Amino acid sequence: MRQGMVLCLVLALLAGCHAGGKSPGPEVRVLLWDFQEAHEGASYVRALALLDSALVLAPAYPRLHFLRGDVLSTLYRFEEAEAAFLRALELAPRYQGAAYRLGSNAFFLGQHREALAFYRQEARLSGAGEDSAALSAVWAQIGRVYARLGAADSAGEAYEQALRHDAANDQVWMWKAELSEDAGWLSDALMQVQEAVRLAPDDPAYQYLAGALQYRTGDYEAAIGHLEFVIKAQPWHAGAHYNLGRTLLALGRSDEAARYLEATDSLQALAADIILARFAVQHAPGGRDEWTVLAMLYEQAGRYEEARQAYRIARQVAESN
Amino acid sequence: MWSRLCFALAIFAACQPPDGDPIPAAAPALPAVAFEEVTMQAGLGGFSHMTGAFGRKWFPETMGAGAGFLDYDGDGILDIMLVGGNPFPSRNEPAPPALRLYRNVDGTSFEEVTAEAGLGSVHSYAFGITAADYDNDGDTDVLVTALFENLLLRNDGGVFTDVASAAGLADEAVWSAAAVFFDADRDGFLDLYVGNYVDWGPDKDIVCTRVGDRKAYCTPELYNGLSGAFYRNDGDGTFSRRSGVFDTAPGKTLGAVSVDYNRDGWPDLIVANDTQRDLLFENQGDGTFVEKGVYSGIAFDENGRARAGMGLDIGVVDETGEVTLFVGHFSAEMVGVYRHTRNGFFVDRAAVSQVGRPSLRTLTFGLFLFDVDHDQDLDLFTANGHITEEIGLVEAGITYRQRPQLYINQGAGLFAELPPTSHALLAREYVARGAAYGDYDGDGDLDLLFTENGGAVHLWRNDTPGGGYLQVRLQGTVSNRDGIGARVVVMADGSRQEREVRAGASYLSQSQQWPHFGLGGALQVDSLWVYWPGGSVHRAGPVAINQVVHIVER
Repeated sequence: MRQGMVLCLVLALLAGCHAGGKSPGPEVRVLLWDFQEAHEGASYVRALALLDSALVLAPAYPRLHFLRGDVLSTLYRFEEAEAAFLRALELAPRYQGAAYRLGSNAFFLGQHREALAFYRQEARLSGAGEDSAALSAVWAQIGRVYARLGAADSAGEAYEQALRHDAANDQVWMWKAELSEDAGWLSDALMQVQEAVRLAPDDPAYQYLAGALQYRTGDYEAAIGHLEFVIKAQPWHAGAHYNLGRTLLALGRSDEAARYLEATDSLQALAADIILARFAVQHAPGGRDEWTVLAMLYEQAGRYEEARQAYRIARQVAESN
Repeated sequence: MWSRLCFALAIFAACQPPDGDPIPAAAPALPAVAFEEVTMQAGLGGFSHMTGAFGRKWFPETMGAGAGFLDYDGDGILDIMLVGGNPFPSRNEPAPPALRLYRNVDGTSFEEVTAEAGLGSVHSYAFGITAADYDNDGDTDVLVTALFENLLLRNDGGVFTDVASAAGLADEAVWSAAAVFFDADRDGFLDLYVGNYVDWGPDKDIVCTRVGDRKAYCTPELYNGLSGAFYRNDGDGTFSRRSGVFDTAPGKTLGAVSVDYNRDGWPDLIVANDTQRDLLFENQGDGTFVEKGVYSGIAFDENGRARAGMGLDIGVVDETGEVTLFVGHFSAEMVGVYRHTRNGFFVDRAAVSQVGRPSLRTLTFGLFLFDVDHDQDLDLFTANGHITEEIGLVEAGITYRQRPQLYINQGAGLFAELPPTSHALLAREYVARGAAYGDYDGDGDLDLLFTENGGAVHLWRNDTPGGGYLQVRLQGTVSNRDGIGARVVVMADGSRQEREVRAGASYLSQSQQWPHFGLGGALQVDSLWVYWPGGSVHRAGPVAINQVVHIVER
């Protein structure tokens, strides 16, 4: 959901952004249509080539740099992506979304202070507009960075700010719940995640936390439904298997519990392998083998959509090499 | 397999109580702890640990080493043994002694006796020490874990001889880390568990990068883990390796501790693994074990993820009377806090206990429970330090050198970290690894010892004002001579405390074996019980406070 939300925000920003600079000529517009088609078809290497072609024709058109940064991020080429987003900002200092994406890249790379600076820059830009949902998303990210930096009070304040802009921002309720959970305030955490579930009942991450917290607070029967929901939606979810196993164990349903607990070990090992494979891709984003390994692991875990995307990128990387 | 699994689950199948929120939020009253760094005055200032690093960033360089308080010469006061490190065996460089032994002269200063104790020519890329009288001859022997061959240093009147090979403990040339002496079959002879780490050698080293193209230390996920080994003491100075569950359970072990967690009189074993699930070997009442980590709830974090387990300790820290396990973890992972709930289950209380959040920014290696302020409950010390010097460049807010942390027990299973402003020593940063406690100066309170990777050792004298104390020294006659596995319970001023005598805990280190009790304002110990591993129970009381009592098994 987190990634999905970021994506939604980016799409919203893309749709509404103030591109700045002169409107591109017809040749560039054609290339952008082709780009969009390639992007929608997950042909990222081709999409990148189309953007590069467009940039030859309109090197000062900031939107092209922004889109380039977006594609490069998808390909885990974060340093190049950063340069592209920075170029977009250089050409159009009020370009909405670019600082946000720079913040997200920095956050992904563990550069939390840089992320914070970029998100704050985005908050200043978004604050000038009317888009409260976008502003809420930016404040949510600020809160998340503070949480990672161990500044729980600042994180809490940022989440409150995010909710003032958009009380229906389900992601903020989820992150508030995580903050409360880390503090050991399980009842508060449960109430907050239940609000997230109310706002977005189909989100497995929210359902998972709700179930895990209900298990931990002793409401075993209520936990089961949430955790079963997650396992149905994400059969690879080690945490849901583990918590459901322990919940069933607590209810004396030992045989059923054994099935879920037994699965936990292999699922979490697979999840760890996926994290390593993603690191490998991050270090060698042009490596076909790295992408293929990642795709195979996704496939093994039943994460077919992500597997398909990784396979596509592996193929495109091989072709471009 | 499945039938056994189901059977185990059936045994576990009982409701466990939920864990509620902590008592909110009045600012806790924290004691004014007082420590003084006495490393130099004590004569330990010349020590520096050697990692053997020579620019290749070999994985073992990051691990650091252990330290221990032990009475090697039987004079009743604690001496100090430190793992000094060595060059890598393949480098063929002149090597200093792998271990450094410091004799406690007068309770304030130490003199180095490495050579006199027969350790001057002991060379090994060593990591940890575990001390116990494995041959029941009345002096303290030492098991040293190492890269490739472990050492068993038999103590004969204050002189050590490596007898690992003759004792049957040099059967495997692997990387070992944690070791625990415990009497698994209660035959009066201490058995041994050795936790192995990963399958590493110069020819198996993997190149990793974190900052640019420069080689950095790899994380353990990239190496294959090694299962641990269980050796039964044959009672004649030799050990026999036993196969079974220990050979099939996952490895990458950095910490291990024995404890009779379910109070059935048989010692169990808990093992902390690095990026693999943690293990609970439950003694079946005959010296054989079944592994129940997942089902008991200690194997993973709350989300079913294996964490980077390092040092660990276990003890009764609250009014439930049940044991709570503490496990040090990597940065961005909370210190694990698992309380037993009487029915074979543990519940994860890291966040609720208030230990979790303050531990998220630290990488904890050494970790132990001790009553720092004599207020009749166990507090928690963690020795922290990262493995990557450049970590600050790639992960904001995480540093290579890190503060140690002292968590004061607030009762009801809650802890409060002493802020760094409370004491200058707690504000300093170290690359800490092994950590141990012991009353080296004989003043009744517990002092701290911890090592730095590739650096100094630190001895902190505890000068915290507080209540009375009692220390108990056991001598087994039917049970093993050290009384390892004995449970000692005291009642004083309406408060019940218990300790279990053990060899091996924290990270690669040996703390004082003799149980220590802070007694607050109690004027006497009303009752004292010793539950010997041989089965007998000793009761005494009332017992005067502020003394060391010696109890021989009858």
